[in-house]
Amino acid sequence: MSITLVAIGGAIGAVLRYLLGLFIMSKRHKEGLPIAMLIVNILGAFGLGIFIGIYNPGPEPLQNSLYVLFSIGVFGAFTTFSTFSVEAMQLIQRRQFKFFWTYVLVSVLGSIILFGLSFAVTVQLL
Amino acid sequence: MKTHFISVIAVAIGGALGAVLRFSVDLPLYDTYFPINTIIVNLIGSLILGVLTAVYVIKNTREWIKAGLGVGFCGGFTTMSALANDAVVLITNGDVLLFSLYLIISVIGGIGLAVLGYVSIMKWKAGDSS
Repeated sequence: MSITLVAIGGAIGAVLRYLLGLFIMSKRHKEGLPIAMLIVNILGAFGLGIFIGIYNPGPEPLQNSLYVLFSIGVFGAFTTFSTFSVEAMQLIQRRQFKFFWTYVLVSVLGSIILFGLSFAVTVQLL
Repeated sequence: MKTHFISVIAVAIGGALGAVLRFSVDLPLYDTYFPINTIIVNLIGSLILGVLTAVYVIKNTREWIKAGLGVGFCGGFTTMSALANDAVVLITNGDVLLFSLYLIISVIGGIGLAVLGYVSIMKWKAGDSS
């Protein structure tokens, strides 16, 4: 059962990332900061913070259907780390070091801060 | 904005497989003290996407295959949202050392392994054709 939920959530998350990524890239042609996955990752971390704030999965989250569907499936697959690593690598290859540091710091710290913020605010509001 | 239906299907299938594989790493390794599960999927996924990126440079690959393997599978296998969640849990536990270690291993490891995968394939190709 859990496997099916993760598969469904994973498919939805990945397709949403793909479509949003294409949409953002269609608006920006400039070569430079790879903003599409930056936005996707921060947005996904923000969304997961709200979800975890609303829904406490308990001490064994991996046994929890809703947690598995949304946290592991949808948000897990919507965000990505492999593309982050490869895009960071490509910025080094192009010797765009300023973009490299901006991309790495904003992606990682931005995701962490927005997750923490959305989680804390959601818990406060409920 | 041009999308091909077959690419969307490839991303969905790749994303489902990637997420299920990540879940099967999470299940036995889930640890509230140090989230090694997320580190493992993110590092392995970065290595694989580094390899794929080089393969695409060398070999002309169809768009839907690229979408399925890279965007779908590697993207669905790895995750930034779980990294953010893990990092916040570590820092709210007051584990500044583990928090720093977690981020350093993930970020330097991920980028390093993407480079390793990419460079290995490019070098192998250069040696192969000479």
